[in-house]
Amino acid sequence: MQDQTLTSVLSRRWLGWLQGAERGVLTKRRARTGYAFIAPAVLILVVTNLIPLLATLYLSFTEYDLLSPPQWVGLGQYESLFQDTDFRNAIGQTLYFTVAQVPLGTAIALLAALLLNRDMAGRTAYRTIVYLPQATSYVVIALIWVFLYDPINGPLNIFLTSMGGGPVYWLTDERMAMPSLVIMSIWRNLGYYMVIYLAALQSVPQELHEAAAIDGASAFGRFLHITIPLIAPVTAFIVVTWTIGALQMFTQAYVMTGGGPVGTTTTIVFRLYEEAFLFLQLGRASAMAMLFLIAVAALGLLGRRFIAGKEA
Amino acid sequence: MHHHNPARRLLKSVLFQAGALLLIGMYLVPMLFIFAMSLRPSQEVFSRPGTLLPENVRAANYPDAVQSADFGRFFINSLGLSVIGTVLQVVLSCLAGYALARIPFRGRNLLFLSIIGLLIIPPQITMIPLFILAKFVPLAGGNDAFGQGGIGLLDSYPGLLLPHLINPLGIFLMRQFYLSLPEELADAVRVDGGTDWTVLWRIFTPLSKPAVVIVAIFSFQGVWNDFLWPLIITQRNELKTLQLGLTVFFQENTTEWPLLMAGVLMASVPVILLFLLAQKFFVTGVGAGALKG
Repeated sequence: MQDQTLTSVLSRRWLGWLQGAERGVLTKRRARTGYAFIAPAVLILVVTNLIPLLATLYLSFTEYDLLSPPQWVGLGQYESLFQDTDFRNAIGQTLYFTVAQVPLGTAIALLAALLLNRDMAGRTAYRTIVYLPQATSYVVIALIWVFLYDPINGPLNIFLTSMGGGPVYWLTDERMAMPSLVIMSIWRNLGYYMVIYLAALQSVPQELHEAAAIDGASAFGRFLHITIPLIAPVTAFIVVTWTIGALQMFTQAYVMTGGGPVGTTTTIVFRLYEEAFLFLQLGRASAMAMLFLIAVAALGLLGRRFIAGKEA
Repeated sequence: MHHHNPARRLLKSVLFQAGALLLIGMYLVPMLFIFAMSLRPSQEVFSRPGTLLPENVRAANYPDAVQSADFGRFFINSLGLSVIGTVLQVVLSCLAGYALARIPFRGRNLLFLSIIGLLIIPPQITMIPLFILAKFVPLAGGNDAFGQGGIGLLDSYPGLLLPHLINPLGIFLMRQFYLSLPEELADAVRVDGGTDWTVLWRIFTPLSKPAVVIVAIFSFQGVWNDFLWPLIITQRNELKTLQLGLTVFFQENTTEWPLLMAGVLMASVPVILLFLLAQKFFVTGVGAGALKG
């Protein structure tokens, strides 16, 4: 009897140990599966993202033209960049493009969402139409707008002249070129941010509006004091995302204006492209890239904190 | 003080409707003019400048664009690259996303955070070293074993694909979706001796169709619409993608509006079709991603 109990206890222990060991083996085997599943992705990310990132940092301290090995120059590239009026101009134009586009675009996106949030015939079709430019490329949209802006055959000028206005040289007038790119970029990006706002508006509880309406709040008052604060985190998200996108502007300028007239649409990425791939100044271009990365990353982190703060 | 003034409500409704129509007009009217221009005979652009609608309709602009500017070739290049890039990105995102969501292993959180960190890096930051890397790939494009002497992967299909092999955003989206699935589903397979491989491809991924569709569309659009990378690494005409080919055609024939607009419309068809087909998944996905912030 006693013996049997002992055996059963022992065997139970053994069994437990065995099961534990088996579980250990299984855990190890699963961990190995995990590594195997993620290995290809990590390998490719290291080769195409991580190493290039570190290489950009290294190259930014060198002078390099692809032909002879990189020459270490310390902070030389950064120092000369800070004194480079062309680069300062590019920073200025990039900021102009961003500041002109993002607040105005965000406001229009919200307005568009409010318009299409109501029950009306064809609402889904309307949303799709506004979203369509977002699905296609910047090149396509840029070429379309070069045509829309064409001084002679473009619909915009045909309309203006028919109204008695003179032709506007949208893309070749120094003062008009950047605003023209801003208009075109808002037109292209609006659908995406409108859809995000539509989702946010759906999540505003209807009861709050009804309660406020009973208390005598006007529609505008309700919008100002209920809707706007409730969708503030979404607004923060939109502003940050749109800003980061706008700072990277290149294709519009390359296709539509070639960075001109007289550098008025030359952005940071445009300068970076010229420096690296037209002049083969890869060290200098890498220093530009690093400064650009710092700006974008700082903005991203700041935005993340702001969005999180608003939600809390 | 709850007003139910019918006249005011009607006015408000009319105002909203008018605003919506104005908004739609700002999109539809340009689209109609682009379409009209794509059907215009070339000589009309000069003989009747300053008019909007064509006198004669010429549908042959479309086949002409395909032939004269080699848009057909560019189209096939873009399509091939986009399909391969999409398949690679989706498969790798599923594998990595599943591992990050479902398999406990050492260093998992660190890996996940690093991948999130990569999301913030704009592609322009890494393109210079990537270009250098492509040039010095050993034994490719006339290079010797040390990567010297030739052009490596520059001006080649693999080179064009280089930045599109993987997308951290895809990994992130798949991980989030796999996290939301109940573990019991996996247990049922494991009892029958199924491995993680079976769980991933037989159970979890079929259940994650919305996420897969979103990742696939993002990937396809990313490759199809990319411009800067093809611009810097392509030399030969026959390797050009559609975006690059359109731009070069425009630079060489600035006033060939009919052919250009026909090309532009054709270049948008695949991505727009894809978007319309998957709209249901897509719109919810964009909204959901945004609200998570």
